[in-house]
Order: sequence, then structure tokens, then C-alpha cells
Amino acid sequence: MTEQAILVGCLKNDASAQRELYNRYSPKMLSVCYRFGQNREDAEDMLQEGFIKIFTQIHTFQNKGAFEGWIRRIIVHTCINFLKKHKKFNENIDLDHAGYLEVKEETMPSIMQAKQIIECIRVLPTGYRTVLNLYALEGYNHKEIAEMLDIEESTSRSQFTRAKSMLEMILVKKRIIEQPKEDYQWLAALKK
Amino acid sequence: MEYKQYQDDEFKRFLQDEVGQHRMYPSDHVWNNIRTEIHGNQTWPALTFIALLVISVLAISTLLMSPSAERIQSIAYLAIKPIKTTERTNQIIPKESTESYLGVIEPQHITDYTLTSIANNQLQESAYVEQENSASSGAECTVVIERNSPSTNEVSNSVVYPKNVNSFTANTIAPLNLNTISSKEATLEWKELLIPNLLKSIPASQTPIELGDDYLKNAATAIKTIPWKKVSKVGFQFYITPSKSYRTLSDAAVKAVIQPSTVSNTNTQSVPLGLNYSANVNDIVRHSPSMGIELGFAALYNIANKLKLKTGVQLNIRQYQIETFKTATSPSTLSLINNTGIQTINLFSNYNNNTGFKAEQLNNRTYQVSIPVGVQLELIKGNKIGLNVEASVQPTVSINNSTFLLSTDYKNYTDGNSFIRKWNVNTSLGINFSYKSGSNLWQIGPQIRYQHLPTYSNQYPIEEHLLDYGIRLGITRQWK
Repeated sequence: MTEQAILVGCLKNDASAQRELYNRYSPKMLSVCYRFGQNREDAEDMLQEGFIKIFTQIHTFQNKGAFEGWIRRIIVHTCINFLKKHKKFNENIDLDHAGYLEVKEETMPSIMQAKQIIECIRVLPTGYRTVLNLYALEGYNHKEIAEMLDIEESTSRSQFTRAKSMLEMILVKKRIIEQPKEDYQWLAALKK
Repeated sequence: MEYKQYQDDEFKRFLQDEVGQHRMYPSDHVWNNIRTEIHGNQTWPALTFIALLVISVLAISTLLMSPSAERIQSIAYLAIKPIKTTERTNQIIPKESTESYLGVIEPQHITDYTLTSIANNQLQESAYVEQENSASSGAECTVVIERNSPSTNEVSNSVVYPKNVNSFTANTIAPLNLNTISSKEATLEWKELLIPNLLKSIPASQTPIELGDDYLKNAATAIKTIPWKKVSKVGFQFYITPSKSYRTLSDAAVKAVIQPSTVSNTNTQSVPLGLNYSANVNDIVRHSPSMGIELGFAALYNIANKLKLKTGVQLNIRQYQIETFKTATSPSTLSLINNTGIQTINLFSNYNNNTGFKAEQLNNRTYQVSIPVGVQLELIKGNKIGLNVEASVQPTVSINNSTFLLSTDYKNYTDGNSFIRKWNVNTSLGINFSYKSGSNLWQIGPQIRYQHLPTYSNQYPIEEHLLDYGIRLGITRQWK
């Protein structure tokens, strides 16, 4: 089924087209939700809420940009709203605290580096994690993030900086990357 | 500042490259909740349809099976048909007959005795009424019943002849045609109906007769109290089905989920690919069907003339052969799809799919108990032979297994018993030729049986569905 056919079917509230859309995008979107959420249950709740919004608001899609991008924006906003209900974003955690953050081994299948990195992101404090996800992975700028999270732009910047440092420490600890050197390009330090 | 921005961009690119292609598969209940939210609770039209069908059939069959006015009329007709008036004689006229049964009954028994006996014995009898023409007992009648005149279609000859006619002078009594009696009349107003008709039928030249009330009361009472012998609607069947078990394999999940993640990881972790990794699983395995068997005991309930509801309990033994090679014990890789993504486990195996020091044949055998629920429809129903089709849905539980699982790199076979799906659903379809011998109904015919859910749990990415072709031999007895 083509994307256009799925779109037309969803506009007609056709269950099979909705299922097709769900099957096509839910794996990727659940991964997004998982990065924002505290656990898998939260992520699935976010995904569920997000897809309900997608199906009920699909008539607002104006076919101007990529359909996947539109879906992703809805999912991300759903995740933010979900976190707003339950979490605080203005968490300032001392970087030293990162040394005590535990990444559970059993949740990290050794064969999957992507999965490992996601697990490392997920151990970050909620505020850090959210800003990091929005800025580094979803492509929002700090101004947009500040509006989305109702925080100052400077707060977003500082939280990203702290989140990045904390994540680097965790990745080093997990030996996914090597110790970054001050005068060395960050990418060159990555373990190939 | 620029350097920091550069570092941030590189960091973003690194994360996006690593994380961007990550996929997770949501649980089934997520979609169910979404669908319920959007479309409301799912209904199963088939269930509603089947329920309505069953109710309708039961209602119709109940209506058809209940004793109707027409049936009562018919029995009344049988009871007295054909009553012929004959020339007066002073003795009973025995009919020339080779049948052993020849009965003479007293006039006072004509109604209840005759009706009951006919109803009970399904006799088609004819009665001859002889009238004693004596002045003192002009109403006395004698009825001779014989077996050998089953002309049930001679409706026009059907007559009612009353007993206890108090007095009449006619040599014969005119018949009353029962065809003229409506259902309502037949059941409700025998007296009112019979008397005027009977009187009307007597020629004007003859002296009117008087009908006794006893006869009419007896007739009505007899008809009301006829003990109908119902044929049982329940039957029991034992069947055995030698069958050949086939299986279908699908590795779509392996291709879509397992292999892409493994291939992507080989770039960074140098995990070697299996030799057969790109081929279809059906081209790699060497399986051959083997004989299995079904044993079952079922109860059948007639819900309509040609339709029976069938349920019972059934034991299934299904098996197929796996051609493999014996090897030294080596790890066997199983990649499983679970809630958190792909999980790879290693099990030990002594059987290699491709190479080894000795050819080995493994027997993949499962034992199941199922509860078939289905229907049987008579297509042809003769006196002795018949043809019917039957279909059933069979909730099935696996009770014991001896199975071997293909590793997800298609290299080895390992113990698969812990991955067997406990509950499954099968569907069976068959056609039977039946032969009635005495009180037994024998039947034989081909049957196909399909297992809808994969043999192994959802974690195991290679789907296997079993398919059995068999010949069913069954014997059915009706419940007395």
C-alpha cells in the first residue's frame, strides 16, 4: 500500500489503512518514545496517545512536508506533554552524579550498539534527557525547546551541555567511546 | 565558540547515526487500545452470525418438530383409513393375508387403542367396518385391522366411522372426508365437526342416526394423549483419522527484523553471517511428512433435519521428519523477538543442518488434545448411504512434545520444546461418505486440518504452521 493510499484510507477512517500506517511507523516512533520515557510502559503509553492523535488529526496534515516528519512531530509533542504531566524539566544535577548512574547490563543486549546508546541516554535525568533528545536527535533549536518545555532558552542550552557531558561520561564508562581529549575532535574519539 | 558548535554538531551526528535507525516493536495491546479508542470495541461478526444462525435453526426445528394440527389430522386419518363400508354380515371378515398379525378389537377400543398402536408401531393399517344389523344393537361395529394395505395416499377414501351409533337403519354408513377438516377444527371441535358432517352425509331417505358422545370424547382424548415416541436428536461418534502431517515455514520476521540488525552489527562487531543467511528457509531445510493420527469421540446433536452440531474431545499426534547431520556439541544461535527488541541466546546442539559426521533423522512430534466444535451437514441422505460435509474449529492444547527447532542462522537444530506454544487453534474440514448398517452409521472420507497459530511462541521468528491430510473413519450411534 502506498503512502498516499494509506493517507487517503486514514482520512476515511479506514481501519486497515490505519493499521498499515501503524505497522509502518510504530517501530520507529516507539524508539523515539522510549528515549523520552522512563520505561517501556511509558513509551507505549506515549505511542498509543500519539497514534490516536495522528488518526484523529490526520485531516490537518497538509501534504506539504514529509508525512513521517509530521508523524514524528506529533509523537514528540505527545511525549513532551506526557512528561509535563509527570515530570520536572528544571533538574540540575551535578555532573559528578553521573558517575553513580547505573546502566543495567541486562537491559543492554551486547549485539546492539544503538540500543546501548539509547539505554545510556535513558539513564540521564529527565530534564537533561528531554533537552538532549529534542536538540540532538529531533533537530529542534534551543528557542523551540524553550517554548515547548516552558523554560528559558539559556536553561535549554545549559541542560544540553550538561546532558552531553554526562552522556559522554557514561559512554566512556561503558566503553562505547574513548575518553574525549580536549584538543581532539570529538568524532575522532569515537570507538570505531 | 565555533569549536564548541563543531563539537556539538559532531555529537549530534554521532547520536543520530547510531540511534536514528533503531526500531522497537510495540506490544499487541497498543494497537488494540488505539483501535478501540478510534473505532470502539471490536465485534466479531462471525460469532454474531453463527449465534443467530444457531438460534434460528433451533427455533425453526422446534417449530417443525412439534406436533401440529396437520399431524394430528394425519394420525387420525391413519387410524381409520381406509374405512370401507361393506355389505352387512354377521361375522368378522378376515382378510386374505399372509401376515401373522391380524387383530380384532372391540368397538370401544377403536379410538384410543388403534391410534396409540398406530402411533407406536408406525403401522399403516386399514380397517374394515362391519356393521351388525340387529335391531337391538344397530350401532355395534367390528373393526378388522390388517397390515398389508399401506395406501396412505388415498386421502379421498378416508372416512370417520363412529362407534356407538345408537340407531340407524341404513345398511351402510356414509364416509366423512377428513380432507375437509381444517387443522383447527380437527384439534378443537371434533364433536361439532363430526356430527353435522356425518349427519349430512346420510342420505335423506335414511333415518338419521344418533352419535354417542363417548366416541367423540374418546377420540379427542386419545389424540391428545398419544404417547409420541420421539427419535433421539443425540448421537455419539468415535472416529480415527490416520493422517499425513505437513508443515509450512515462513521466515519473514527473520528477514525483516533479525537479519537487518545482525547485518548492521557485523559492520562494527564482525559477527559472521550464516552460510545460508540470505536463502529462504524452505530452501534450506529438508523436512518430509510423516504419518500421524487423530482419535476422537464426539457427540452430535440434530439442530435441523440435515444439520448437526458436533463437539467432543480429540487426541492428535502429528509428526514430520527432519533430515540433519550429527555433529559434536556446538552452540546454536537463537535470535528471539521480545518486548525489548531482539534477544540472542545460545543453546547447545548436536545436529547441524549442513554438515556432520553422520546423517541423522529427527522426528518432530507433537501431542495435542483438542475440543472440536463444529457442524455436520447432510448433502445426500438415502436409506443406507449418504454424503455429508463437516467443519470444526478446534481449540487445542499441546500436552507433550518432542520437537527440534531450527536456529535463526539456519545452521543447527536444537531442542524446541520450551518454545512450543501451549494453546493453539486448528480448523478441520472434511467430507464423509456414510453407510448405515443396523443401528450404526459408518462413515469414511478425506479430511484436512490446519493449525492457525505458529507452533512456536511469538518470540521465535520462524513461523511454522502444521497441515494434516487424512482419511477419517467413524462410527456413529444414535442415542436411544
